[in-house]
Amino acid sequence: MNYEKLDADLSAELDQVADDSNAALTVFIYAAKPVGPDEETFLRQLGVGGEIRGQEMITANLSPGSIAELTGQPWVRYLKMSRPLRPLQPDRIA
Amino acid sequence: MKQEKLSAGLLMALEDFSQEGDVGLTRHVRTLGVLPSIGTPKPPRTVVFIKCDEKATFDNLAEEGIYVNQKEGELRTAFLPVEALGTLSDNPQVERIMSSRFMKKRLDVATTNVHIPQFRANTNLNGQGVVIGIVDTGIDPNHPAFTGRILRIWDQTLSGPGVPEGSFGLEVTGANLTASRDTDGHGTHVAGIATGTDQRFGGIAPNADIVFVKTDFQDAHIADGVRYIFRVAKQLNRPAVINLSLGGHFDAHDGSDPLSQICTNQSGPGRIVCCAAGNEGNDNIHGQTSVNPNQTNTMRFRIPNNAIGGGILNGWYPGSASLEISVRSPGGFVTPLQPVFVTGQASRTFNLPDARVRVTTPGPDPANGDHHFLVQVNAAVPNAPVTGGIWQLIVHNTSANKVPLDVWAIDNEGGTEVTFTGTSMKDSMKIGSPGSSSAAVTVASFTTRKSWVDIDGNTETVGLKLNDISDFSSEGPLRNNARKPDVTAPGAMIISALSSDSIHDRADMIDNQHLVEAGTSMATPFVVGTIALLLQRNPQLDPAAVKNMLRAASAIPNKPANTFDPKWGFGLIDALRL
Repeated sequence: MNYEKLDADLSAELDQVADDSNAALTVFIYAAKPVGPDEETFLRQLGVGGEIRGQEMITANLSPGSIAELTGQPWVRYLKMSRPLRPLQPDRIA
Repeated sequence: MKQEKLSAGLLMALEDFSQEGDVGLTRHVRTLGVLPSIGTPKPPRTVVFIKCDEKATFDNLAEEGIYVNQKEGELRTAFLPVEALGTLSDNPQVERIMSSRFMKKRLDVATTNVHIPQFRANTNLNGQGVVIGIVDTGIDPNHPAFTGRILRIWDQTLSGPGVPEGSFGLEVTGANLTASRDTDGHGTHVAGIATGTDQRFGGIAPNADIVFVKTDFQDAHIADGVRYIFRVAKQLNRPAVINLSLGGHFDAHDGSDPLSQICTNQSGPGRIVCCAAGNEGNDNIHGQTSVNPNQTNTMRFRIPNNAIGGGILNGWYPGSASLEISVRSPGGFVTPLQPVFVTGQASRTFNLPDARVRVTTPGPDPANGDHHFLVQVNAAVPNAPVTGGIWQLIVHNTSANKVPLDVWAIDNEGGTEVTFTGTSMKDSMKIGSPGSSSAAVTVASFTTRKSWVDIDGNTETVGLKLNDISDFSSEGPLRNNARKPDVTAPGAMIISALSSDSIHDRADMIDNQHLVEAGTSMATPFVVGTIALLLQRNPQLDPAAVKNMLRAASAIPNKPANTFDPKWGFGLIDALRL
């Protein structure tokens, strides 16, 4: 695993799920250039779906092992953890 | 006549009638439901409420020209000549006679406040030919406000093959739209504001079409939803404006996070994104300090008692600097100062007697070159509450220059229960992703209503200041000092469509189809609907042009034109100036 290609959230999350073999993390994959045929083949083997050819930012659901493989690819700039957002209503109005 | 049975308004009308005849009634036409007779052979008539015995019968009054509409009940309505009010009051079964009044159409004060009806009347714009895209909790496909205009829903929460932008969820159209439901109600309410068709509480662009993404709120899936909507609009050869009434604080608050970046990258001519500014105006979620070289600063934060989920601190400082990070618990237990780990795993976990703390301190974040650290506080025992009380974030500067540090406190649900206290608390920079997207129009909230009559006839009131910026609206600017929010629109208290699949407090329900809500969530679809009107007029408007138009049409009360304020942006939109 090349941790230099992971953001803080992803580093922390990988530490948290280190003992969970079934963990799957939703991530953003930043490619150094638009995804071509070779990159697409690699990503498909990891289970990445959807239309990804030509994209430079790809969303995916990956295991820690797949994340480790991706960090070893020279065409992968870095990976960022997907985070949950919320609908924006105030919790309370007095 | 038994005058004591008549309401004050009716007595006043009778007095004017006795003194001036029919002419004296003209001033009571609108307020008392009086029907004048000037120029007609008919006597002046009035409509009244009668309080009476539940079983009272009034059939014999028809001879006097008095027609009571109901056969039973304690409260009835009647139609009668003004002159016959005395006869009605003499009837022993009648306890009280009250005036009926003409009602105004209950157009939401919000739309009239910003002159939307006049703008639409002047321009004949209604959103026809424009796609309004919404990524939210879902939409009620059966609500009459949207009949025939929901083109498709990508429901990311249902099992299915997904769409090109993400191979998960289910896309539904036509008769299958009902497979997707809004059990929360937020998305339906938002949609109603932007584009609902309704006599009383209509949306801004009632003829626009809707492409909806019901999301699970993972920002990666929201990003997929943004791409999906723009792709569908492109296939339909229509301009589109997307509503994102959602957000969080896990990001750098400078627009460099992936969702904000995708919103910016996807925007262009005829492709506009609008985001809510956030609702943390009253919450102390942002802490700021500046650490001198070789000095140590302390930032205090509070975790509430019995907080099961714990807390997270999301810290950012320049990549050229270096801070060591430590945490002190309320029990006085301290983690060691942790430096930046440029290589290898940057996360360390510390088991204190009263908590388990994970500190993550990697090298510079590749997206913006700044340092990003995380502190995660959990209970010492799984599923137990975290030790509540005042915690300390301790930061030591090992670099040669002064280091500005911004930290955001988040509870484990992504909410605002963990807060800063003391001198590091800072009421600024509370607009997170995706409101921090540079190309998006980010919207603050203005209060146009503070009371309403609920479904049970009770008058409800909130403590917001009327006709002012809503105090809950999050302040900018961004961490890189970029000016956000952009504009302000009505966001409290807004009446709009109620999802039939959602459950709400009856105090918030107007009737079975309308609900009152508040938030920058509600202000955003105001602007989305307004932009839809502008796109109908010019489908090629790009984000810069839209922002310039909105800015020129906005103002902060009592401030010169073009003034920026971190709470108001460039101020409240006035549609007549568009």
